[in-house]
Amino acid sequence: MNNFLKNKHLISRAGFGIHHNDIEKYKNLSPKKLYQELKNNSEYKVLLTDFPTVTPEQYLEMSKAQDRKPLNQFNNLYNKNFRKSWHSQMINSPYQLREKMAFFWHGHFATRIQHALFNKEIIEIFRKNALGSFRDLVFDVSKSSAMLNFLNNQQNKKAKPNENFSRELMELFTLGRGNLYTEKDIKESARAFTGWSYNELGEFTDNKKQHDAGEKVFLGRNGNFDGTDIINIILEQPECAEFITKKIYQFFVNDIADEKIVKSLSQKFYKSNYDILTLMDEIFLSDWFYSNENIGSKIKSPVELIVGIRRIMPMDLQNKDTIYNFEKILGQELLQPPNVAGWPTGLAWIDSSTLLIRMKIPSVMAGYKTLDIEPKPNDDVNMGKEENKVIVNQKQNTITIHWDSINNILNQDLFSILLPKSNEKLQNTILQFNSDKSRKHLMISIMSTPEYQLC
Amino acid sequence: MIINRRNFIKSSSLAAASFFFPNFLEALTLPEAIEMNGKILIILQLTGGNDGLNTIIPVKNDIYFKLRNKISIKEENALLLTDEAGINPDLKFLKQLYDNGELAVLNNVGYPDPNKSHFRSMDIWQSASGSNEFINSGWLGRYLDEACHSCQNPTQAIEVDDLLSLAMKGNNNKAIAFKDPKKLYDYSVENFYKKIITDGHDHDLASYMYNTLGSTINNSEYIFEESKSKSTDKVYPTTQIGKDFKTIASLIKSDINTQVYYLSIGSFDTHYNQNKSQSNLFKMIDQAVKVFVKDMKENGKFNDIMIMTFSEFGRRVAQNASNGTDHGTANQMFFISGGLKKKGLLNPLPDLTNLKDGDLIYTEDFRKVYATVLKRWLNSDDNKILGKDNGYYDFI
Repeated sequence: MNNFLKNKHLISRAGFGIHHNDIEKYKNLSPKKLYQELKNNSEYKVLLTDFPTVTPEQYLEMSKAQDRKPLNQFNNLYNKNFRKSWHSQMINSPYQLREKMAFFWHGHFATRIQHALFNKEIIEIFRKNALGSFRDLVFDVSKSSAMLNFLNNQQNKKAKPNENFSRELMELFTLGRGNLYTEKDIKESARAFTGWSYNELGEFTDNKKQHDAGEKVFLGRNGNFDGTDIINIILEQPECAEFITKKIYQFFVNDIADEKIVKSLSQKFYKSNYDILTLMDEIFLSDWFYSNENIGSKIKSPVELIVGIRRIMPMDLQNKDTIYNFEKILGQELLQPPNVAGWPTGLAWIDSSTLLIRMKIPSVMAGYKTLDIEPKPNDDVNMGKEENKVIVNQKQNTITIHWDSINNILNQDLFSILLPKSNEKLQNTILQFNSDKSRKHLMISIMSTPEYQLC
Repeated sequence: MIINRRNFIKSSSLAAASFFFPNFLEALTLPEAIEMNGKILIILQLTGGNDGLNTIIPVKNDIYFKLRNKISIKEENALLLTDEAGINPDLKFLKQLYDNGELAVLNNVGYPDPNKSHFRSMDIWQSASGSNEFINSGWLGRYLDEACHSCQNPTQAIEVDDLLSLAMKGNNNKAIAFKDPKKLYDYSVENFYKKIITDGHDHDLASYMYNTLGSTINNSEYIFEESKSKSTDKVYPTTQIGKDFKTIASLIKSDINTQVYYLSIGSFDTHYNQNKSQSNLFKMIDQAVKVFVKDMKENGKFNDIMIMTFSEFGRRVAQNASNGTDHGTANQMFFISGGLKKKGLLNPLPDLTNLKDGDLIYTEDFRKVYATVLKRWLNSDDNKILGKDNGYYDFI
């Protein structure tokens, strides 16, 4: 396999797919060098939005008002803008590895709330700690207003413990369902987390009055544990490293985990004291990552698909929302994972409707086809208002592709640039179908295949 | 009917292409793939959280009138069902159905540890999960898996919508969604797609997608032809739900053999000025159902059809300051059919003296309703589909 194919595979997993400016570079660079470059380009910068934010004090003021409409409106607009800003980083930023990793953590520590400032805070926790220490990440998330709010830990009080957070902490965030812990451990650890809350400005508070300081038995150990002790005890378990490693492997390498590789990776991850970058180095610098069975073995999620298209095919949008609406109708909206378990993966993305829409989107972008789809209503956001249709045609929400800036690509082997693997039969069929049409048309055709859904 | 479908496939423009789909074609010609007991289930989802207390109104309950001083519906305005209960005045036809013994109402349906997020609670209802469980398949999708385990024949279940709901996604089989058959046809019957599906595929993920594509194209042609063949002569309302019921009616009258139809209307998220918006929605439902039921009766099908309604939650007992209601918990479900064994109010109205933080405490678990429908209407293994024994009701 040549370097170009390997690099394309690497950037489709360690980032959001090949960028139209990188084609020549990827032909010559070794994957090791490219990975090094991705690592070097991973500085953390806070996302900037062009929509004015408010201070926590101002937010508090709005939330006290009798009329909820201004607050809802602010949340909607700010969330939208914040999503846009992150999305554009995914497309344009050289810090691909960091954004991809943050995107993974967003699905792992999933929250679905409307509070704009809480959302901003937790996404920045993901972006900041994306490649750092998993230990720091668990602590930051567990103390974030978004997570405490979403899992109702402000209601977790000494007199009446609420198990929601401690249950998901173990089941979804660290150990995996029923792995190592019992219902009793959930109850005991819920007591340890009593008092973890946030104040009206969204800052973490450890409310001693609500905390149950009594003795707990957790994972076979006794003590007057608090939340910090519980997280530390969980992190001491090699099973935690294994659970996280497996999930990372399935997200970045292959839905079907190679147990032997996962085991050995997880031991290294554990020994590194949960250093995420160490784990990612092990994956992306390995030989097996580039093996045939791991290439083209994942179905792109809607965000990966749309961001990927925009990286290879630059465009202008009459209405910037159009692109997020594409993701929404395909089932994935940033800041809106379906539940605390995050987005389902793989074949869950594909049904007769979403497949047809996925295959149609490139033609819609190019102006060859029109789109008219009604998304499922989101009443948590709309508050009773009707959902707007997603319409793209010659008059409304038009999209203009910058064909000029990808002229250099159009005359190359489009199949090898766009598809994860070569497939001679498909190639011949498409070439035949496009025999009397332009190279632009050919590019759109290749992107309108089931194979293009793979990475 | 089976012959019809086989003939259709032979004659379809895809006949040549389908040579490359041995499994897919074989499935379509297997009798069990489309065998059914003749019963049809139509799920009508009231999206947004319908206010149940202003739907079936406790007309003699002081607590109701006290907690809802602006939005309560008085006894003289409600359409009385019993001494205690009235139905919303904009559900006139449902009152008629009640009088005819063609409506059953199960009050106070919900689940333990209710969730008040629209999305999450809808997922719980659609996947039939517990409040703390996360299941990525829907209860009707799993019914498809069971009823249709060896086939790839998604016309067994149809959602009248652009997009497919979780409820209709199984682990192996998924229903097909379309707003109208013509649109589906236009979207899927592309020469390019027909060209590429003829190539073989060795990769699992790719072949899954090619199978989905192939069956969508094939089914869309079939559905489109069928929907044209028996287009209904009844005049349906021009509202979206009117159109949706018309689509369902024409498909029922064709020989498509679909067992489950799914449609939704909203938004019932009535935080502000509730009565006006709820009234508008009810009128649209009432008028569409009226024509549909008449249509089905004239075609002798109403005894084999059941419309079941649900909403992700009810609303709080007390109204809010904006003459609306906020998210609540338990709610009633309607069952409309000519083939009910029990009719009318199946159980007592919610107890307003026993609330939890101002919310109703559910007495009926929605999974028991699903179990009943799966077992007694769709003739399937509810324990397997729902993962546990939920017991049954005896209204069907």
